[in-house]
Amino acid sequence: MSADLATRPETAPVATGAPLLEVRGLRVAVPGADGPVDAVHGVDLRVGRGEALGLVGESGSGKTLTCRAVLGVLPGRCTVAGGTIDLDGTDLATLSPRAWRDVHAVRIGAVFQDPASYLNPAQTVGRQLAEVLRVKTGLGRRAARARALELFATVGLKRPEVVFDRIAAHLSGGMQQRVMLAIAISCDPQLLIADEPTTALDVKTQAEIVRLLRELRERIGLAILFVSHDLAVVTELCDRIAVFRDGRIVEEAPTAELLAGRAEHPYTRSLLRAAGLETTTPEDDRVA
Amino acid sequence: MSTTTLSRPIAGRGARVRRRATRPGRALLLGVVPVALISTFLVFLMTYLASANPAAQKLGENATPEAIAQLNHTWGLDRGFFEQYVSWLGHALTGDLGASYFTDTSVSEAIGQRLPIDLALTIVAIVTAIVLGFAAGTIAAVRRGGIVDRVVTLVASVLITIPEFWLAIMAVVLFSVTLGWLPSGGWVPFHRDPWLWLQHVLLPGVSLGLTVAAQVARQLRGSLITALEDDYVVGARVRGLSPRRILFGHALRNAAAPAVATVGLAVPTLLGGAVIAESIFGLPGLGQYALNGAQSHDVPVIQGVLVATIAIVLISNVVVDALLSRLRPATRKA
Repeated sequence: MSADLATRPETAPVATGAPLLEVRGLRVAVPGADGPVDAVHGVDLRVGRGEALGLVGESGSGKTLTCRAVLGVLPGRCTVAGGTIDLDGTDLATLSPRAWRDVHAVRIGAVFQDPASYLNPAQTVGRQLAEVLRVKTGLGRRAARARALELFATVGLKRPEVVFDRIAAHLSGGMQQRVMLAIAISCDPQLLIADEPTTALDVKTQAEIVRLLRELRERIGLAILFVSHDLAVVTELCDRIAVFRDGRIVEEAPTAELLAGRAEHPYTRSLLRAAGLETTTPEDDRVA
Repeated sequence: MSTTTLSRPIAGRGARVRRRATRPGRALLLGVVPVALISTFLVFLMTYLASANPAAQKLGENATPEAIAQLNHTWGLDRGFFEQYVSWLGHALTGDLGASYFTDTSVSEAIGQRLPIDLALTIVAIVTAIVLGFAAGTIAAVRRGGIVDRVVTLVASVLITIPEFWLAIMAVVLFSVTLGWLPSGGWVPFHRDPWLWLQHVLLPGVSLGLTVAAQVARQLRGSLITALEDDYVVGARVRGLSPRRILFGHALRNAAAPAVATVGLAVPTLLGGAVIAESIFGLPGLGQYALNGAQSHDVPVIQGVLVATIAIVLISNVVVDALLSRLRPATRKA
């Protein structure tokens, strides 16, 4: 893993050996009027160690359901209807709730679109981070606090000891997301699932969070599954991009390829064009 | 009371969590003191307007006008309204609620002897409401849709519609008359024999608290089900916390506020219910005293009982407020 902060994602080393996360034929069923209906139709994904894979697509394209399935927290009565989710030899698709507790936080960390709502509104953020450290890494009360302050500093929060005693509602959106990140990386997971983590933030804060994610990736070798509908943000961070449409991956390619105008699928091109990222002008302007 | 807030902790940006010490002081000053002053003034005003020449009543049919005037002077009733009010309030603040017109005994002392009985009933009722209500509400919410949930919901709905006095009578029939486990009435002071005291307080106290327990169970079930579906519970799950830790450490704490407020708001009702329970169980409590005072137009007694009740309700409000602000840090913002 390169430690050079200036390294652009397109030059990041290609993962070798077995991937960290391998999703095969994933189908997710959502409740419909006449029983469960598939909303994700056989998705295949590979995320190598230390690699960042971006999932893009419009709302309802299945990218969030896919990453929720990987995270084991599908909403409502949604279920994994088929396929395997292999995380370094563990099949997450068939994991018991008890076994999930040794995966969550420890092997997979997660951040979401609306960080404040994923934190207990009535507890200080420091206490919630310290709780994870105490439960998951067995630290004592004082050691957990010290480690929490370190982690807050790591994610770029100024005055960690002040932040520690705040509740989420009393922090700005960017600070809330940094807190979520601190919690997500607190137990040294290998994989971070980031579900639209920058969508609710202003442009400047967005750029800061993306820079922070890139830093974390390079510093601690974190693999990232990054979900966003904003292709511009994804190209900033990810080595490869998978384009979702109607519950399927229509194209998957290295970021550099896509940016060099070698996108094959017209839908991908239209996304690139919408983000102002396509340089070439192919003849077929139509969206498939 | 106005200081009891149920607002969700979303309001406020940037502000720091206020230090705990400042809030009770503010609540006391802004809420409790004005309420206490206004309500005690109303008590005095009503009893002043309603009192029908107690001196004549006490001295009987053959009393001379001079004797009546003499007694009115002794009691201070020949003074102006505000003079009487200020003097009464001043004495009340020092704990002196005057003497009964007819028995000449100290009202404060009499209340001091009788109030512990009603307080004991109320406290046992509150404990019942909290323990049963929280246990039933939590189990029902966690096993939502299951048999326990349905039983809890049904029993709670039935209990809420049943008057406490009927429950008390049924409890006597079952536990005293049929099973013979507990005494059907009477009173033993705590300091004489705590065990006997408990036996005597259990039936009236528990039967008094069942209705509130049902309210608490329903309230908690609802708010806990909502809380368990909140995103922060998903957040706690992806942090790898156990279901037990999520329930007791996060969801229950946040869902408890409305249930705690329910208990707090029930305190005046429970005190009123204690007065009824007194007469069912033959307890020498405040209710009997107030009733006798009211029937004989014994103004100091009526005033004293009302002031004592106001004090208890206000104190319980302050306690509930403090509890709620601990449960929900954002409500600390005044």
